[in-house]
Amino acid sequence: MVTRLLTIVNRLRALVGGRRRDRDLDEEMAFHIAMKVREYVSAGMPEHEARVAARRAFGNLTLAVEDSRAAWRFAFLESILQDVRYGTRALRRTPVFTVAVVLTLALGIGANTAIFTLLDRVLLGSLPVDNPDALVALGSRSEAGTRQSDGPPERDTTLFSYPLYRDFRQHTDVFSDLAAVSSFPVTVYLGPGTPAHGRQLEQAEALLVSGNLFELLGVTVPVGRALTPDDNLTAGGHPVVVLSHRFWTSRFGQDRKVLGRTIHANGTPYTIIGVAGPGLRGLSPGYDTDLWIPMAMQPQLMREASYLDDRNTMWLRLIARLRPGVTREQALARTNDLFRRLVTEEAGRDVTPGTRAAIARLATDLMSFAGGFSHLRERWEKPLLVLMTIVGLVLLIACANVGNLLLARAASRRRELSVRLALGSGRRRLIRQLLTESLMLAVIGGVLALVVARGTVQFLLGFLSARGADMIDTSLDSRVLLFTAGVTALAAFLFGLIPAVRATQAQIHLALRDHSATSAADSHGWKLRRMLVVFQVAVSMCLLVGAGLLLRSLGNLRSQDMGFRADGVLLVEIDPQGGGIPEEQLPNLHRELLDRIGALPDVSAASLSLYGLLGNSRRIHSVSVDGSAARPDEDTRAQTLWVTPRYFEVIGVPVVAGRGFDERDRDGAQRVAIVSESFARRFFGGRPAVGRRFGVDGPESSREIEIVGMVRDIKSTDLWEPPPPLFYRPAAQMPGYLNSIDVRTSRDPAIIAPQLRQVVADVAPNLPILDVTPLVTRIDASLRGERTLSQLTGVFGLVALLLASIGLHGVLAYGVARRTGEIGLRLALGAARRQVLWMVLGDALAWVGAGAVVGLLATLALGRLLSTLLFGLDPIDPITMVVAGATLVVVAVAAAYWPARRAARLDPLNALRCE
Amino acid sequence: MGFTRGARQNEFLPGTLDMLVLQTLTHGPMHGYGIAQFIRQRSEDVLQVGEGSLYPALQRLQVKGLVAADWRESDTGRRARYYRLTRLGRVQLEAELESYQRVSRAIARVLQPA
Repeated sequence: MVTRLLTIVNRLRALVGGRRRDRDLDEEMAFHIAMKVREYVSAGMPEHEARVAARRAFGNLTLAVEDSRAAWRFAFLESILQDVRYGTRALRRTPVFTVAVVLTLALGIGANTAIFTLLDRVLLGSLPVDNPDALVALGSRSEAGTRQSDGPPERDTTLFSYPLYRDFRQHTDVFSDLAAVSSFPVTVYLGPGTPAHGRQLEQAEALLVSGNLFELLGVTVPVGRALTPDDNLTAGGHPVVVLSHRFWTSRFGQDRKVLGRTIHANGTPYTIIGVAGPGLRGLSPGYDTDLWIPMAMQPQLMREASYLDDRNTMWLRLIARLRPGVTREQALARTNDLFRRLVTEEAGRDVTPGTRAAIARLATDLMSFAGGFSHLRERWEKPLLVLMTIVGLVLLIACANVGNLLLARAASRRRELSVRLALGSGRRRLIRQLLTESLMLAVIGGVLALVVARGTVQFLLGFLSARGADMIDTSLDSRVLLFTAGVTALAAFLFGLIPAVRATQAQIHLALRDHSATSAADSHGWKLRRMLVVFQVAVSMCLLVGAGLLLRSLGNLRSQDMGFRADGVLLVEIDPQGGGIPEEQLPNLHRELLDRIGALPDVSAASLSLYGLLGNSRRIHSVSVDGSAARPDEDTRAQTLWVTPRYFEVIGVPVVAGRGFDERDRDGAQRVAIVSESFARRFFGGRPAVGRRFGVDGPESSREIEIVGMVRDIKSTDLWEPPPPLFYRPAAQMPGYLNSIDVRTSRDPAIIAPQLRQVVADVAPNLPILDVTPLVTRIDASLRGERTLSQLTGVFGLVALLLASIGLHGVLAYGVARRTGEIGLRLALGAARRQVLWMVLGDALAWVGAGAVVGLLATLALGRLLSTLLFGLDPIDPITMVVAGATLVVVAVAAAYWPARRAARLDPLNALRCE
Repeated sequence: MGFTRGARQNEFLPGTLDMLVLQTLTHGPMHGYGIAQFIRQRSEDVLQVGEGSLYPALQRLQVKGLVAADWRESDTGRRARYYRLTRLGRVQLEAELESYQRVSRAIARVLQPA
């Protein structure tokens, strides 16, 4: 109460003027003694005797002074401060130990925190919508609406046409509402006026949505308004857009006056009517949406015919909210019934028995949409879990190491502690002091761990998302921070408390007498420490083998025969449509570009194409062939590339049958195509493809495309999958925009890039150039995820190895110290120094060997899990294992060398004297 | 083994000492020596406050705000620190007296022959 408050206040005030107070106290005591002397003197004692008597009667002056002064201090706080100061001194005296422990903790805990954060965001996070668990998405795949042109309905049950969506919505009874979305890349122009000049164009991602999406998700829009069903009434009649929060922040600086302004997307002006909230970054974690646009604008946005009444184009993902009380199983059954009914109605009267059977087999799926379109999740779930396991193991090693180090340190201080106990220190105070030391270590390590975590999260994001590292919210979760703090505190407590208690146990006389560090109580700890080392070595072995396998897999991916020659090829991404170049001018533009670029001295060949190699987009059509060799259930789709004649020369693909494209293949002439080998295999079996005809998009289309040549397979989009069936069409026979200039050069591609830019600017100043990349760079970029995974595993493997070495070194050093007497005896009795060296090294090798074997066994057991992550090799790969094992042994021997050397260098006299 | 604290002659429970000091000061401001004398005389030499306990107690009382101190000239001409009771000290004293009396009455009751 009041006294307590006053005590604190007075003590705070007393922080100043300590010396004055001491002087006052001294004077006060002196006065007291003087009075006592007077008392004795007046009672008859002689003065000098009186003085002595008075002093003696006073008692312990120092103690009185100390106790008096203590009243003015925060005693508890001060003793804690004293502990901290003492701990700091002790830690600074052994810098290697301190740094080792702090680094170990920082790495282990920091890495774990980072991985956990990422996992949380990518795998576990939900969309910031109302009641996310009631949301489902129709379909069995996770793409977020890749636009596909498709014919027969039985091929795809993930994408739907717009009319089918409307029918679904009208007739469903298990969903309270149904929305449709499709994502589409756009080029955006933000400046004033029209984008006629082609500059300042940038790329963004748009999401075409049905008007009820925002309402279905249950999100509100903080600035302006959301899209509503009224924005979706007439095709092309609602040029409005809702910006994403990030887009608004980065492009408009969060300016609230942005409402009503116009931006151009793919050439069409849209009025900004709202800004979405900061949490809603998109419907696919890892892929941000920048612009939310009404579905009615599809023809303008995609610069194509309208799909809004087209029952044959499947391009939409459907999202639905379950009615309360309806389970997903019920909804799935009813939905599939409805699906089949609607498709039957669509087919109308031309229903063959085959089609009817196919419809009966139709089934879609309902996936939980709580976390959005989890394409990222599906692709990276396994690797991330693998990573989490790895990091968890490393954390374990780290804790084991810290424990080992602390145990060893406590053991080596037993004498010091015993002396202090003998001098009267309270046991509890000593334990508190030791605990303070470990707590300090833990706190420093924990703070550093946060720094490590931050950096690691940023670094890891590079491998998760397609477009840069800032897609996912990187702030460290508060739960994760708590987790970190908890682990830190636990580590400190466990590894600090036990040795502290043991070291201050009452049998002090034994400890004092026992000069060598051997003691019965320690052998239990010794066994534990050895086992910890073996465990650490085993985990390091696992990680090293894993890293090796992933590295080799990456090498295989990179060096495989992709069908084309990537060296010397440069791809220039252009956007003539975005630059407002009219279609009539295209043939001239193309011709001039090819002439001028082809005329450059360093260019050996140039061509134009739609969708360069290994880009993000591709065109897929369904193919129909008379007498097709394809089995009924086989996929009859093929990818298509529109190219100018020299394309094959540019990318280095040989023509293996028939001819390439030439001037004969003009607009209006016979429509031709060149197919890839796998196309011919799929549709013609082993028979020649040249001369045959096929049609695209639907069984009723005419087979009027003639095959004039066949080329070698190429891996056009995915480096993992086998080459897809592919057919090429001449650009001259396609009305439309091409978006890639492909150039083969004999020099370093980086040198001619500026020349290319110059030529394009000369030929068409308003033609936007989006990017100029060497094909080799594109290949590397597409392997970024694999590369990062292998790098990470390698890094963690090395970290684990480092930690294991520290542990090994520590334990060996301790062992040598323990056996100092024994070693001295051996040396005195005539053992050669080399024998001693090998004795110690032999121990080390034994532990490392045991650890390596255990690690190998674990790797063999876990090999199955890794197999999907490996390209071109088997998880049980002897070369990798041998290399990993060798690395391990080399590092371990290096770590063991010092203690072994010290053992061999012992002076037997000293050693024996110590005993 | 080790240094033991306490076990000085005539050591009081700190609580009782505080109470005695406060009570003494109701008779007016005094210096430390005077307080010790007063207690010894009033208790007829039974309670002899050791200096090792007195001065720390006085400091504690000061920190708690129950007494205030200032330097004055003593009757010997030498400067001495005089302590006086504060209002808070008086309140505290009353509380402690009441508590002490309640306890001693209770003890007396227990010790009463049946």
